[in-house]
Amino acid sequence: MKRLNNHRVALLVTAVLVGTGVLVGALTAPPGLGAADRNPDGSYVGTKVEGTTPAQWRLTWEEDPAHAATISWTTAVEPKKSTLVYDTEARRGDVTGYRLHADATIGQYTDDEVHTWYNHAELTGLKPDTTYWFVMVSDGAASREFHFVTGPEGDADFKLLYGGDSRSDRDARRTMNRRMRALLEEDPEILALAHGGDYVANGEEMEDWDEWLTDHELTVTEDGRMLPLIPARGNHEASGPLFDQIFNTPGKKGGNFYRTRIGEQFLLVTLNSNISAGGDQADFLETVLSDNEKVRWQCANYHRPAYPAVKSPGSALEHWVPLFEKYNLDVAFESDGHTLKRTCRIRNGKRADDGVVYIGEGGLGVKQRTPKDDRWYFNGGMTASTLHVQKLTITKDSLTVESVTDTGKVYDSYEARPRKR
Amino acid sequence: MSSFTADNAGHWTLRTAVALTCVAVASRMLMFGGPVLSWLWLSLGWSEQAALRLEHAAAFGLLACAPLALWQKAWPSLILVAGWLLFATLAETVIGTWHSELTPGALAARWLAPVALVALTLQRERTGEWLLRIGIAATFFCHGLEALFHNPQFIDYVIRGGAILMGARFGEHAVKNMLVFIGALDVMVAVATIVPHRWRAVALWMAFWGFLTAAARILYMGWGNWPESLIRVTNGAVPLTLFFMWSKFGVRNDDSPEPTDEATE
Ligand SMILES: [Fe+2]
Repeated sequence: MKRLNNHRVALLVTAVLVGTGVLVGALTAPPGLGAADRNPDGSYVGTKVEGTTPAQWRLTWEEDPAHAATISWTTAVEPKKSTLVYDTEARRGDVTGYRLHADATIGQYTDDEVHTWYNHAELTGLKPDTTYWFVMVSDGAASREFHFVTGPEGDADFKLLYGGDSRSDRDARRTMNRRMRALLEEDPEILALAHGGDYVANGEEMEDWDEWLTDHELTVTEDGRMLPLIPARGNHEASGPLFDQIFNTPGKKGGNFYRTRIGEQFLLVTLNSNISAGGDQADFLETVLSDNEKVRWQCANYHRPAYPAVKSPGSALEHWVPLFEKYNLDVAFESDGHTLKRTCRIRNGKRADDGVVYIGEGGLGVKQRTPKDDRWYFNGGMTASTLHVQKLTITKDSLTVESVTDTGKVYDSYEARPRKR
Repeated sequence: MSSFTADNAGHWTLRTAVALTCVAVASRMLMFGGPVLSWLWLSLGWSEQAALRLEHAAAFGLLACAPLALWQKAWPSLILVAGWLLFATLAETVIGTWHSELTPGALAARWLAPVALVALTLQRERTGEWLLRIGIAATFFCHGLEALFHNPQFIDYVIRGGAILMGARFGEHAVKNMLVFIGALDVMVAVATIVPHRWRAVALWMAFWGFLTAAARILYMGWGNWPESLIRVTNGAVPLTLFFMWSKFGVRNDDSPEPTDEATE
C-alpha cells in the first residue's frame, strides 16, 4: 500500500513539475517576429522550358569579371549545338548580326525526375567596363536579346548587391527578385549579385532549382540587362552536383572557393562553409589575403556565420576570423540565419574600432526568423526580422552597405573608411 | 532515492547522463533554436510563433524532467524525455543536409538512453543492457561512417585539436587519412558491442572516446558552446554504464544468468 502511494506521489510530482515547465515555457516564448508570406503570386510562370528554346538564363562571374563571364541556360531536350552570339553593340536579336560567338558545353542536370539540359557559354577576352549584347541560340531556337556590363579595370567606383537564402518561400523570393530588378533599373552602377548560398530548400533536387531558375528570370530588367551572379555554396546545396551544373563550377570542383577582383581596389573572397574550413581552404584564404594585402577594399562571402544572429557559430569563427583580423578585412557577408543583422566591429572576440564587421544572414526569399538581439556583438550593430538585400557602394573614400527591404526601404546603413594598408 | 553504491554505479551514471542531456537539449533550444522549430516552421508551414512556443514549452518541460530523471519512482518522465528526443532526432533528419540519413543512428545513444533507463528501473536489466548496446553501437557505427566519408566538421576538429594540443598544423590530406583510421576503429568497436560477448575494455575505450569527442566541442568553440558538449554526454556515459554493468556481472559472456536490479527498493 505504501509502495503504491509512493508511486502515486511520484507520478503526481512528475505531472505537476513537467506540466508547470511546459506551461511556463509556452507562456514565456518570445514573440515570433517572422515576416509572413508576402504578395501571394501564383500567376508568374517565366519562360517555359520546352524543346531547345533557351530558358532559365543566368550569368556567372568568377575570378576576373573584367574579362570573363559564363552565360548559361536550360533547354528541355538536348540541343545538337548551342551557341551564344554577342557583340559590343545591340543587334536587336538578329542572330546573324553579332560579330562574336561562343559555343556552349551541353550536359544533363543530375536528377531522377527532371531531365532538362544545361548549356554553358564561357566568354573570355572581354573588354572591361563594356556593355555586351547577346542572344542564346540552341538548334536555331533563339532567346531575346540581353545585355550585361563587364567589370571595371583600374581604381573604379561601382555598386554590388549581396544576399542569401532564397529558398523555401517562393512568393517572397519573387518579391525579392523584383526588388533587385527595381534596384538595378534605378541604379545602373550595380554590377552583380554575390549570393551567400541556400538558393533552394533541397539543392540536390532539380525540381527545386527549376523553380529557382525560372524565378531568377525576374531579376532581368525591362530592357534586358542581366545581373551577374557570384555564387557561394550553402548547406542546402550540400555537396551535390547541381550547384556546379547550374553555375558552371565556380572555383574548382569539390571546392567552390575562389577570389574575385573587381577593379583594382576591391577583393571578394567566396568561401564554402560546407567543406573543411581549416584545411586547404584556410591555406587558400591566407594566400589570397596576403597576395592582395594592399587592395583597398576586402570582403568575404560565405554561408554559415561566424557571428550568427540566431544559431550557433560555424567553423568560420575558428579558422577564418583570425585571418580576417590579421589582414584587416572590411566586411564579411554571412547568410543562413534568415534574419537581418550587422555586428559591431569585432577583433579578438571583442568590440574594437579597427575590427571586422559581419553583415547579412539571408533574406532573399525565406521566412525571416526572430533574431537573438541580446548577443554581445549586436551592441553597436543591429538585427531585424525582414526580407532584405544588401547594396554595396564602393568608392575611393568609402564602402557603404545599405540593407534594403522587400519594400525598398533602406533599413540600415553602414559605412567603412579605407584602412591603412 | 537509493544511494550510490559500487553495485549500482551503472544506473547512476546513466541517470545522471539523462538528466544532463535534458539540460543540454533544453539549453540548446533556448540559446540557438532547435531542429523542431526549423522543421515545423520552414517545412511544414507552422507560424513561427507556434513553433517557437512548442520548442519553448518542450525546453522548460525538459528542464523539469532533469531532476526527475534522478528519481527512480518518477520514471514515467523518462518516457516524455525519450519521446521528445526521438521527435527532435526525426526533425534533424528531415532538415539536415549532410548525410542526414545517418542522423537517427548517430543520435541513437541519446534517444535510447532514457528508454534503457526505464527498462533498468523496472528491473528489466537484460532489456536495458541491450538497448544501451544497440544505442551506442549505432552511434559509433554512424559516426564511423561519417569519418570515413570525411565529415568536414571532423576535419576541422582534428586540425584545431592538433593546433591547440600539439601546436601542429595538420594538412587536410593528412587529416583525411587519420579520419579513415578513426572511422574504421569506430565501426569495429561498434560491431564489438553487439556481438554476444561482453568486452569491458571495448566499453571503456568507447567511454573514453565518447567523452573526449564530446569535450572537443568546447575545446573547439570555447565555453560558450557548452550545450554542444553536454548534449553528447551519453556518447561516453552509455558505454561507461555498460562497463559498470559488465563489471558488476563479473562474467565475460552473455549467457550469464539474468542479474537482479539491486538499485530498486
Ligand atoms: Fe543555411
